[in-house]
Amino acid sequence: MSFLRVNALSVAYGKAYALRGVSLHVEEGESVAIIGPNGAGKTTLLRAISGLVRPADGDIWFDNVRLDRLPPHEIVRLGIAHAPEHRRLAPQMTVLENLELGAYHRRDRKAIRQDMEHIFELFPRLRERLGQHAGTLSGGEQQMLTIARALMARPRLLLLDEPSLGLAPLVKKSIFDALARIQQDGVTVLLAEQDASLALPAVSRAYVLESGRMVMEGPSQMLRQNDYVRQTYLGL
Amino acid sequence: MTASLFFGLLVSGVLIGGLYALAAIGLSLIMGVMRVVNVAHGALYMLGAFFVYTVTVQWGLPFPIAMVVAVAAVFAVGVVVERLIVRPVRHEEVNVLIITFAAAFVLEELAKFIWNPRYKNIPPYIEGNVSVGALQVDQQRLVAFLVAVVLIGILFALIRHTRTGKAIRMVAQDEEAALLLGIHVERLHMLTFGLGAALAAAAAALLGPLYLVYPAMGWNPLLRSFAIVILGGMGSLEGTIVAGLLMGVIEVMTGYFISDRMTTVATFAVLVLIIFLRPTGLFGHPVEER
Ligand SMILES: Nc1ncnc2c1ncn2[C@@H]1O[C@H](COP(=O)(O)OP(=O)(O)OP(=O)(O)O)[C@@H](O)[C@H]1O
Ligand SMILES: [Mg+2]
Repeated sequence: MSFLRVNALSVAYGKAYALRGVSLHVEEGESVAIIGPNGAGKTTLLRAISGLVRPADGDIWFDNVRLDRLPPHEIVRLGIAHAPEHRRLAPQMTVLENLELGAYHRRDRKAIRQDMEHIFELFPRLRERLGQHAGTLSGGEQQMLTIARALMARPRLLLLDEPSLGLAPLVKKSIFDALARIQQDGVTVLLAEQDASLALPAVSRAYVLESGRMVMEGPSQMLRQNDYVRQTYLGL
Repeated sequence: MTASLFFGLLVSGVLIGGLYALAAIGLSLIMGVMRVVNVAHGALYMLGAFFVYTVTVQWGLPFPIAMVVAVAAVFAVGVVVERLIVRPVRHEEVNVLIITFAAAFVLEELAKFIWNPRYKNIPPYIEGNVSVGALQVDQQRLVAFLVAVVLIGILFALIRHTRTGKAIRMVAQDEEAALLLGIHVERLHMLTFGLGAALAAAAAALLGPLYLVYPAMGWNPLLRSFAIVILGGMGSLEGTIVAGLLMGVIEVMTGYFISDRMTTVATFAVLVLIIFLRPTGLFGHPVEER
């Protein structure tokens, strides 16, 4: 049994299907990307895993627990943290408060403090901005805070949705450098990203999602050499 | 008009305004966190007054006990109202308006049934005057004001500094993101609604001896609370406090210079003016950015 397994998942918004029979698995310690164009259904897939949308069909399993009937707050408790698209911070709360909220479901105060120290090593900028309202941070800093907030949950599986969205190339690079270090810490990562040239080198395996269907999957090395992927997603 | 008369009116306006702020802040809290309008707020206020009446007059127990009972009981009623009728329709604003309006009438009828519709009095809990400078102030009003200040202070401390308070603010700013942090949003909605109701009951208790107690007594404070919340800016608790004090002063001045009967008209005039001139209120931010 895989760490995370999605079986023949279909999700509909009203009558329009955003996902049709999508399957995916992620093994413990692995990093996996979902790439695909606008509106492919990447966000919808991550939202279904987190319990924000209910599937019309199919099922989702994490560490032998069935997720697709659980409320989001219980899914978080199982060890899944979700850094959502568009960041979704509390703009009128401080950086520190946003980080504290990331650890909302935890009670181990000491470990929380240690994790926060560790996160400051990963994102030194956040330490300098602790008392500042999240809404006043730059886009890159907000993205760092979004990832940091998710890490404060001490997840076993991290869902990352479009971490590079709207950022300058250099900032994108620093976000992906941080991602590499998070992977080294042993966190399993499932990444949804439009920018395949960033996502593919960062993971070991990837899926290509188009119009709600999985059209390809494989080791990222292999996909990077695939003609279709090269032309459509890497612009080569 | 002499300076001391003006000062006297100002002080009594502020004293009553603190209680208006307490009465309105629960409504403001519920709006800010849940984005719904609770039209039953006045009926919950009314229930608070009736509970105080029962415990003091009917059971003969001291006022502080009555206030605690009223606040706790109305908290429970608020929680039940949220769970049973608000939650199922929460995402349709108009339905929330209609269903809480209906709930207000039901609570009013229940009050008639349980207590009978006749006017009742709550005896004063403190009598006599105190001098504040050259001014004679009703001691009860002063104490009521101070208790209101303490209660509002406690509310702020809870929301600012506790884990649950921070979670409530997160829910207010982004409900879905709150879910992704493991926050049990529905449970906090129940708590927020109960808290809002309890605050109304606290205001009703403190103001109890100043007004008659009867089943329809909640509508006037409801209208005033709406005016205060809008004047202060929706979603801003600080704004609600400032607006509450302001409303107290406006009403006292209107009562003195025009007529006691005109205070509700003045409240309504403020409401209309602010909606026309500055719909975001004194402290409102137009739309929360994300
Ligand atoms: N809340 C919603 N209500 C209705 N339709 C929706 C909703 N969210 C997404 N959709 C539709 O579902 C489809 C998949 O959207 P989704 O956001 O999952 O795609 P995506 O791959 O994340 O796209 P992007 O790269 O732009 O983020 C789209 O056609 C979108 O219009
Ligand atoms: Mg998306």
